[in-house]
Amino acid sequence: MSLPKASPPHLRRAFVAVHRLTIVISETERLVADPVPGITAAPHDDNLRYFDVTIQGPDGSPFQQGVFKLELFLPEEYPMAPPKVRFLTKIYHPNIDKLGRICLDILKDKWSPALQIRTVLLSIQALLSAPNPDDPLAPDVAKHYKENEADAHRVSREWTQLYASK
Amino acid sequence: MHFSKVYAQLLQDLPPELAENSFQYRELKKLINQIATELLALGLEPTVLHNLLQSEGKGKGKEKETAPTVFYELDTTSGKIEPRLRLWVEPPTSRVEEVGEFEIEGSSSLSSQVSLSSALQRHPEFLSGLRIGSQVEVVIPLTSDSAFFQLLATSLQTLQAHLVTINAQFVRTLVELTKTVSDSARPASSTSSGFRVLSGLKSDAGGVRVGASSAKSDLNAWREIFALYVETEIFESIHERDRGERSVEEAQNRLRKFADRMTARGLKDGHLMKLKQSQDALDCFLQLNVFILNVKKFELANAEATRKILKKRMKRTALPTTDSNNLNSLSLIPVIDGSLPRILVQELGTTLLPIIPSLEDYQCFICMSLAFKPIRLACGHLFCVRCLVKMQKRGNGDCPMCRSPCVLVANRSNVDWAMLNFMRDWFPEEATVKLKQNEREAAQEQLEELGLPEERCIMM
Repeated sequence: MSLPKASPPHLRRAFVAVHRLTIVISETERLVADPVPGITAAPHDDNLRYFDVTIQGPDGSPFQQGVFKLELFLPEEYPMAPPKVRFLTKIYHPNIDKLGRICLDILKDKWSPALQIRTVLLSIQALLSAPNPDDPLAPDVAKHYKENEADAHRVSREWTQLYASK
Repeated sequence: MHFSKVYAQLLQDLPPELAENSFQYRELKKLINQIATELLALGLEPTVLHNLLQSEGKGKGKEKETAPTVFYELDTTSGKIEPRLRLWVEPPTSRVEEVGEFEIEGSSSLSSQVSLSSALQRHPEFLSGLRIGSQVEVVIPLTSDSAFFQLLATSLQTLQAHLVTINAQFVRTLVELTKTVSDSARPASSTSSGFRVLSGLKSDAGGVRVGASSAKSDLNAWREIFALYVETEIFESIHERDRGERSVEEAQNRLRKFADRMTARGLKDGHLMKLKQSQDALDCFLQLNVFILNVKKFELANAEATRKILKKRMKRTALPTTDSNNLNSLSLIPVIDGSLPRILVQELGTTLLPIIPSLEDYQCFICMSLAFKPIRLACGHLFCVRCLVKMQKRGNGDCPMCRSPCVLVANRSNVDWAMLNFMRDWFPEEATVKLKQNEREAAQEQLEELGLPEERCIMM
């Protein structure tokens, strides 16, 4: 890729934008070539920064056998800024609220530009295995999880069957 | 189709130096027939012998007094495997010369009892003379079976020795090839006169320029070949889904795919390869891979042949492959574990591939391209200057790899000059591209920071 030196600024800007997009594309290619077991991520045809994601509920968790849909968006500043991720499937989990927003430190203040889509999705999959009711986003669910974990698991399982079955 | 034919067919497709050292399947099969005849002469047809050996475990109770017990033993004291049958039988009630018969309970065939006893009459030397209670011990050495194990062992030993030779030859060729490749894929410092590796006298990273080399080197072609080779994962998968060794068919398909992709990229003809020796070396490289594939086929065929021949012996003679009291007797027979192809792949990966630094090892973990100009943070992690400047502007102070707070304090003194020179030397083209990209991006950012409209031409 090269551009004549005396190119107008809007072309230069386009070039920079394309260059930024190549990071996204090469990462997508790697993701497709070596998928993580239990996770799929496919970019939209019309917007390569927007991904349809599915995560399988980890075995041994109340979300087992569920397939959860998520959306992932890479902002212009990515990888300097974290991707925006949201659950589209309803889920009964103390760190995921009604709107599907996820409370995960690496998606916020603990983001590192060396992290990738793959690592982010793996962390979310791990969050399903290890809910953290001490740092809740859905206070009622967290309370339920803390006071009667067995019953909370039952509800999580029910929701998984109701909303996340294949 | 009989396996012997399949096996012969398979060997025909392999290069003669491999096929010559194959396993003597047919000879072993003949020996099995001999064992069967020998046992038949003793009246021990497979079914009878099978029953007798089966009852061995159960016959420990009261039956022990009446039922004969047969043990299959592998004597290894002489350093060779000498199989024999040890029988405890009721001695003939009358003298042997009379028509004495051993009482073999549980054996279905009367004729076998007769022939076993008559065989014992003909070979009184089998009687060891030991007696327990009413039973006498009979030891029958199995000559053909002995020959079978002998041939099997020597066969596998030769095979093993041959594999060792193959390995040594492979390494020799590989070292030779490595020399050729490193000769034809030289870094910029060896081909361009203007460049000196030790140019660390410059203290200003901003003044660094990369000069494209003019002299002949196939560095880039080789880097692309190796990257393509690693990416194709011909013999082993490093993917999370199917990590591990690939099957022969899969490896063969992938090797073909690799060759096709190189042709498609124009790497096979003189297009991208400037030097004649590079093209020869590439041929050699491909041949080595075909060779690994052949070794893989060969080892697989031999493992299958060993398994089949032991199974056949078991079926035809009912003799077990293990000793009744010592399971380790077969340790005298070397085991071909099929690990040679893996070793060869590994040798290729550790000897040849690393002579050309791969981009993957020198990329910035943020932008995933060459980390040029390289900045070494206080924590020891390396990134490209552009990404760190962006981080500083955003006020992100933690190292992306280890979160230690050393991004904001990084400055010109953090330029890794040795690395910078190394990258200019080994990645001249990538470094040039990255440098231009960095400059363009920086200029764009400056414009944006000045609040200048981006879409219009500006007259200075």
